[in-house]
Amino acid sequence: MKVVPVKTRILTARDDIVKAVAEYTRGQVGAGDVIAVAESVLAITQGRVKRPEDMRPCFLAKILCRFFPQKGSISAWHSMQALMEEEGRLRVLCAFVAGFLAKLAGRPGVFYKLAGEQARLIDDVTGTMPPFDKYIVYGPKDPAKTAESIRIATGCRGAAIVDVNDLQRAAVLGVSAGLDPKGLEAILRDNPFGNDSQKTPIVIIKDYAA
Amino acid sequence: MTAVYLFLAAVFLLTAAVCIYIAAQGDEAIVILPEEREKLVCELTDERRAVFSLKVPFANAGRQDGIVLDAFARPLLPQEQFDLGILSIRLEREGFRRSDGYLEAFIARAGMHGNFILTMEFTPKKGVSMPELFAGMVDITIDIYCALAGRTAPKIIKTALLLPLEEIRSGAAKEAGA
Repeated sequence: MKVVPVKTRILTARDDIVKAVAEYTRGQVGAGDVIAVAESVLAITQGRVKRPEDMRPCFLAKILCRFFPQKGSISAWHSMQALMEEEGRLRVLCAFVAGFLAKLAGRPGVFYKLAGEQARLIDDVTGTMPPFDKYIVYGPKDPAKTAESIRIATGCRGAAIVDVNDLQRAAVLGVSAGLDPKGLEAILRDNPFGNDSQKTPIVIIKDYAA
Repeated sequence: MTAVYLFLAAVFLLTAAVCIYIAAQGDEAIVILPEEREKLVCELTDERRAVFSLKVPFANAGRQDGIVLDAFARPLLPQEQFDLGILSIRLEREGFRRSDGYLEAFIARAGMHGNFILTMEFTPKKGVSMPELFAGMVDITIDIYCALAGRTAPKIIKTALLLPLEEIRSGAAKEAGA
């Protein structure tokens, strides 16, 4: 099995991710291959980006962001507001209270389990390649559906939308029918997308079935 | 009635605790420091153009991390004051220079110090020689704009930097003499 990163131009909201993947993998993908696409690029093509200047953070966002580590993606006014707009203020507040109490009891990570998947997926500004370094990039919508569309459009064995970083963490957000997310996560843990997933937002896992 | 008082007291104490916690954290405070800038350096001069650069320090003097979303410089050099050439200008971050004039957003950690590199290129207008351009030089004010975000409202700060004409002439003379 071999993992091949595929370089593309910068994809934007004017691009259709399924067509873009089909275009850039043409001639490189076989029936036994699996295509993995970086989640931030899918989100960008779905227009799920916002500039901090265009947001109006509510009072709650201004307060809650103060309780998160500064290195995290929801530690600023605008990024916490982005989370609240996606998951709902009440849900985020309840998750915060529960997370706070759980942490006091020695159980970290409860907030991220309860606040919705966007709490783990939102990339704050500076987190993505230019020109999207000036935008908050949300997690994508319908990753499994998109993966299935990519599989059909390219004729490969399967496709997945994945969140991979340099910290040996890989999370499969959606897969086409018949793929095992855990197996894919193990393969992608070394981040074959490179340091910045927008330079090579697609990887082809050759002969996945073999 | 006692329960109501207890509830109100709890709300008051919680509010006070949150206020104290946030006040103790402080805010980010990203500032540009034109008074600490280095002297203007002439990088090249010939009959078609003269290029100068200088380092302008910035710092996050606050206690929280801040984000520099963008920064750019604008020379205040109207033709009413100086009509011998065109001044184009570029602002980059030291260590992150690019060829496209784009400044990548970055996190300015609390206490961080860094430099912007300001590059100025003079192009004489038709029929004007480079010595004539420098002879007619004036003091130049450059506004540096910085778009910021963080644990406070996004904002744009503007800082004025004054380049005395003597410094510009002196930089050009050094390059010519080198």
